[in-house]
Amino acid sequence: MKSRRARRARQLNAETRFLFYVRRLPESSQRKFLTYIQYNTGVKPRRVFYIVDPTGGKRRL
Amino acid sequence: MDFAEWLEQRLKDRKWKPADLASAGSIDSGLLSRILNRSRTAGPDTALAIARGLGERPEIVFRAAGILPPSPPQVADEDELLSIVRELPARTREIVLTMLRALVAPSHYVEATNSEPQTELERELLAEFRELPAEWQEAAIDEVKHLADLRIKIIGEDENEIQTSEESEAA
Repeated sequence: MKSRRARRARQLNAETRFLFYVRRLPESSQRKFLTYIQYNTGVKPRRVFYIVDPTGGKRRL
Repeated sequence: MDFAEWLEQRLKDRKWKPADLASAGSIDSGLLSRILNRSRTAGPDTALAIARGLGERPEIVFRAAGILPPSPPQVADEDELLSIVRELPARTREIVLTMLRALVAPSHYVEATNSEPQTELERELLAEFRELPAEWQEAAIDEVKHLADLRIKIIGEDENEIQTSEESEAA
């Protein structure tokens, strides 16, 4: 029972951290990150994503 | 300075052993030892317990642990602001503080502790995140943290590049 509770706490902690950083992204990037994660879970077919940093540099995610 | 180093310095200042902090903050001593050995990081709950144990403000510990972004840079007016605030009666200070908190929405406190999705997009992202195996979840957090820290945009692939990758796969 204790380990199930610990697992649940770990999962909640991971979800909180994930949402914390997701909320700092603009909505368009959140939407693209969703597609990117769906590709990794096999829901969506492969697409290539690039990230653009503030200096205009473009590289593959 | 990483979090373990920061924490060791706080313990040294107080002439405390890790066990003293574990007892003061009701933290599992094994967990604390793993944080000090850098074999794991502190999550929001642990950071809060450490703040309680050390008697520090939670945001200081959250920043040291990398859960909150670093403090924003100093502004020119902050000395004047501080001296005005110090002269105000407690009740007025409370009103000013409430108004200031409303101006800087969304609050990092709420963001740091609220794990309930607020929008449809967040709900979808969280649902996909839950589908990932535990070790991939950590990788996903690292990636989204990296994106958020650098404030960079994600863009989709160019049409030409789609064709090129399809052609190379077909070949």
